[in-house]
Amino acid sequence: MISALKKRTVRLKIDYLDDWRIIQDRPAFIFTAVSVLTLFILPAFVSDYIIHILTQVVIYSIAVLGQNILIGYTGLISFGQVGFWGVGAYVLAHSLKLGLIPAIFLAGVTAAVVGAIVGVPSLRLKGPYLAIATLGFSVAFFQLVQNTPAISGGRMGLFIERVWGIDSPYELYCLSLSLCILFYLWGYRIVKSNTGRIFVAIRDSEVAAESLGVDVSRYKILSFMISSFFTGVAGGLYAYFIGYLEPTMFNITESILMFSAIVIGGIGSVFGSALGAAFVIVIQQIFVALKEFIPIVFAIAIVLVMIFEQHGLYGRWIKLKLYFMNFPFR
Amino acid sequence: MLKVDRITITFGGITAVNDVSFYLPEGEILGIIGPNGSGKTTLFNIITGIYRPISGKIFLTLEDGKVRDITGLKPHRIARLKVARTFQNIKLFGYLTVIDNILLGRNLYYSKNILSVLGFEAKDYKNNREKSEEIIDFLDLKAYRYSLAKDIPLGIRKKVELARALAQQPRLLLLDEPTSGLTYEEKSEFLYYIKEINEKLGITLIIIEHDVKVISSIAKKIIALNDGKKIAEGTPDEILKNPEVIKSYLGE
Repeated sequence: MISALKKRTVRLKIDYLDDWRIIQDRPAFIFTAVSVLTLFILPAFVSDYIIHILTQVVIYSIAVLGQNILIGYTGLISFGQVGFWGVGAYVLAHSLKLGLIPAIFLAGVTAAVVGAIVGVPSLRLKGPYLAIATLGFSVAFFQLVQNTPAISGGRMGLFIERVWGIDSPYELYCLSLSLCILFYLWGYRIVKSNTGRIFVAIRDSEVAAESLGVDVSRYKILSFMISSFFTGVAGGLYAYFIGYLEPTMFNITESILMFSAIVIGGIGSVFGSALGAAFVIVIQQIFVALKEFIPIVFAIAIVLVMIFEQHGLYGRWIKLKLYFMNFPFR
Repeated sequence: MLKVDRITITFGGITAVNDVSFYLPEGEILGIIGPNGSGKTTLFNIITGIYRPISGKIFLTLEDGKVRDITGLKPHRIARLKVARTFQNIKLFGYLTVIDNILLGRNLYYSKNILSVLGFEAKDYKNNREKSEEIIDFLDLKAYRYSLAKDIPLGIRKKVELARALAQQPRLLLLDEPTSGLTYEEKSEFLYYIKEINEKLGITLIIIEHDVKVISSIAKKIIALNDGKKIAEGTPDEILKNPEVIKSYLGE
């Protein structure tokens, strides 16, 4: 193991495009390939319960990534997550006749359109004020769903029939995982592109971004659209996976939960979003018998992250990686 | 190149810039001096569209020779007319690397079709990266290419900000106190770059500077501001002998 690490040949950068690539050298490629393969094969050996949790993690991480692009990269603190998530879920539930993939796509697009509308206040409001405005959207969405039986299916809730061939937990898991990988690749692409840099520029200094010719309003709306597209797709997928929707699933506490996933996973990191999503889902499963303690656990986790590791679990991950890369030395 | 015609702006009861006008021919360097709070930076902010003046007009001669009224245009529209600037309190994007900061300066040269906006833009990256590397070569920033902008020393940060502005390939460049806080060596290095930018790249410059020695060694024409008013205009020698300038700088 150690000798293998010592032999790790770092490919030197010889082309500008090397900086542009997501996977930059062979060890990273091998690591990624092995982990992806493991993720696909693993569920064949574990119980349905574990697959269930894994699927939840995978779906949730798409949503968290979307919101991380908005909150972490563009710096627009928003609590509208559950609204976009819910829009995706309900749109899928009502459009499943079209087939699964078109319905998921439609869920994302509808959420993106809603995101563009919700994003309009972001052109005027900043920081906590925007957070409150988007929180208002979440509350409004919850009220709308709760008071409109045509959308929510009334007191019974809304059951979703699985129209497509995908039915077994393993198939569902594979579908979610493939979508998740696609969205993560896209997320990396966005972050490494000019658009991603502009998002960070808006976060760090709006005035400077404008002086470089960036139409800040347009990119803020774009950020809202991209992030709610991700979240909407995840919401739709989640609805199909759970098979049942009721308004209480779209309480604003879900928004805060997703926000804590971002903070714990790592603000402004793509891979951190997946780590944060996994943390949130797994903690909820571990403390399933002690439901009252879940908020306390998250609160402690966030405080610890804020004090010791501002980059969240991602920061820890990077440090771990560095430790093993230079193994005998520190 | 740039004609500023009787610009006035007030904030509450304070008149920050009061009836200032000047004309700047293409390819020249204009210096602006004045004590603290005399409206120098406000003037820059008006030219780049961050503030809208309450009266007066600004005209910019475009590449094709047409004269355009740019008063009250949004900052990003003015940037598109190839006007770049730097800031007094350096406004770099701290959590991006130096090369990413410079690449951001090239954002106008990225194609804006839907695919590249959504992140798929290999060819654009290569072209713009090559241009950015030229600027890195010119300003000798190679050692800092991959450092985060918040981690590098002040002298380098000033250079990176200049690099970012140059990456926009501007025709008019506004430098807000480019040499403040630099050591003697760094100052002379910066002056060399400014000369090169003006002579080799043919960029017209406006420079705010407190150090009269520095500004008189590069600018052909200097404007002195005090309390938002233009109190003198002329060659460096004339400005240094002007009794009003001496009064506002040194007191009576």
